[in-house]
Amino acid sequence: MKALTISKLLLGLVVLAGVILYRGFYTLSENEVAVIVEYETSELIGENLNELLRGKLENFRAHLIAIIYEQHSGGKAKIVRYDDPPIFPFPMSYGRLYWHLPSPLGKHHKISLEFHDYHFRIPLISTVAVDQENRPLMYKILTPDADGDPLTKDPGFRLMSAHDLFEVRFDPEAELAAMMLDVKGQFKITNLENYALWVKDSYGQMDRLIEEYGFYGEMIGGPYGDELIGAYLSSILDIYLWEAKYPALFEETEEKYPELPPSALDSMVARFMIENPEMLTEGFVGFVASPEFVEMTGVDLERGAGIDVLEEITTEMHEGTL
Amino acid sequence: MLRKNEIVYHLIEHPFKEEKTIVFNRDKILETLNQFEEGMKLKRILHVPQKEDGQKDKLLVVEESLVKDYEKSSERSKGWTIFSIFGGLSLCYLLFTPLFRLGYVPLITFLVRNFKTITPEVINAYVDPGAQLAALAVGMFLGFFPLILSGVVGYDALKRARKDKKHAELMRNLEKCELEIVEKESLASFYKDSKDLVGEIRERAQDLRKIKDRYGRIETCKRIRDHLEKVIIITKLYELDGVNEHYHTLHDSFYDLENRLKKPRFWRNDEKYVRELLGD
Repeated sequence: MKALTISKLLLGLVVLAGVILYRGFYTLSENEVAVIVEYETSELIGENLNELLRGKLENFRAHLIAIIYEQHSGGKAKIVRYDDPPIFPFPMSYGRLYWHLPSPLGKHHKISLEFHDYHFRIPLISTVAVDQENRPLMYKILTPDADGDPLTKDPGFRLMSAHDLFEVRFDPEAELAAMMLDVKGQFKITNLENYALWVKDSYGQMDRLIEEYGFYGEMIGGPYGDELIGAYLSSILDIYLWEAKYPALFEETEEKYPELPPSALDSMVARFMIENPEMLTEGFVGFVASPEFVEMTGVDLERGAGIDVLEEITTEMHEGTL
Repeated sequence: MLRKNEIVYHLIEHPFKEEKTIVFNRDKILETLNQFEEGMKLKRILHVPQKEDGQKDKLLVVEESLVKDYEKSSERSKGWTIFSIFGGLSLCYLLFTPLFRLGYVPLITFLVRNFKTITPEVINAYVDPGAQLAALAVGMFLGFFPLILSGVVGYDALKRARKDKKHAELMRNLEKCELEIVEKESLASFYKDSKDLVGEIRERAQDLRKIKDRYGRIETCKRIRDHLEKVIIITKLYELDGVNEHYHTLHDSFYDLENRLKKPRFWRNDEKYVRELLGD
């Protein structure tokens, strides 16, 4: 009679152990590597208990949620390649089988070694005035309808106060047409170790995000891994557009038409930008890799993150709403 | 009329096999045994049509199998409790993160409906700290829900296990009660009058074992029920209440089997049900 209970207990244990072990398995195909991040038990539990004992409930909550979302910082990263010895000597249907400590003690991120695509859309908005504390006061928006009259079509720049823009951005009823730049491109990994570290850091920042932004970080999370490259490049392109490309275009137009007043020049540049979107991203790849950019932003994509942004970028301009 | 301190058994012909069987009412036995627990002296009476050797041993075997039935059922329920807890833990481990995230859906829906862009400032200004805590609490509850559910199921099974164990212990007390084998004339008459019907039922039961065709089985069930109804009338005639109840239960079971055969379901093991019903 007791055997029945013991057999169910053993079966239950086997199921639980199976489920736990299963979370640690992953497969790799020939063009893939995996970044494995493993945590010490003290890192997961010790730190949390410490925060709790010290009464730092904010940090405790941040760590707890980051552990649940498997997005906590720390841990040791290692790279597992296709050539590394797998569990079975023969390949499975999805590649070779590997195993790491199951969640939350370990996690993995697979990286394809082929070219990676990135894709992002940015509205063309620039800050034109800030207050003493560097808070934006006025914005300039490239829009298909600069005077705001729906009966006329006049592409150009529209000036807008921070307050008005806030109203538009946060009110779901309000709409503002803006020109959107759609950028597609590719990057390749040049230094796997650096890229792996970069991926590991990007995936393990939730606790910091929650500590910094509170509930926002808890709810939204952030772009991770490859998504982060898109977000990263989008903000770099924004800087490039308004700090390098737009002043150069304006200067060229001013030299060509010295007789025109600045407002007319502005409208001319706006129309040129809309008609020739490829001009806006021209030189962007070189700019990202240039020592000038590295000095200006302190970011060296190739050396720091092991990412090389490739030359071929397709750019399109289209109308969108903010 | 039965006295409250008596446990009554009837020895009758097995309706589906060439042997004799002892029929009784489990609930009544348990009810009576509860009184034994309270210190009352109980008596077991086995009604037989005619005294023969080995009738006492047969009863002892039946009582022992009753105890074992309850013990087995208790162990089975205990086993399911343990298994459901482990199952809940496994599901919890697998599904905690997606279920936890579900807790945030109402707040995210509220924010997405009211704001185009969600920023830390918007959240600080519009989301109440109570709602933030509630999202966390709901997330935790949903995350642990498989474990909570398995806990509820396990608790229920454990309660059943305890109940069965108690019943097994009660049944063990049966051997301490006095046993008397009584020849009953009405039972002998019932034997005589129902002999042909029981023979018919046994033949139909044999058919049921052999026939694999669903409609043929349904037809056989109907015939068995017809014969059982006739036997029930005879039990009424001789005022054999215990035997009457037994045949009523059998009749209901065949009605149930008929319905099962009419509406087969892939998750039901009807073949096992037939075997158990026929006592194979």
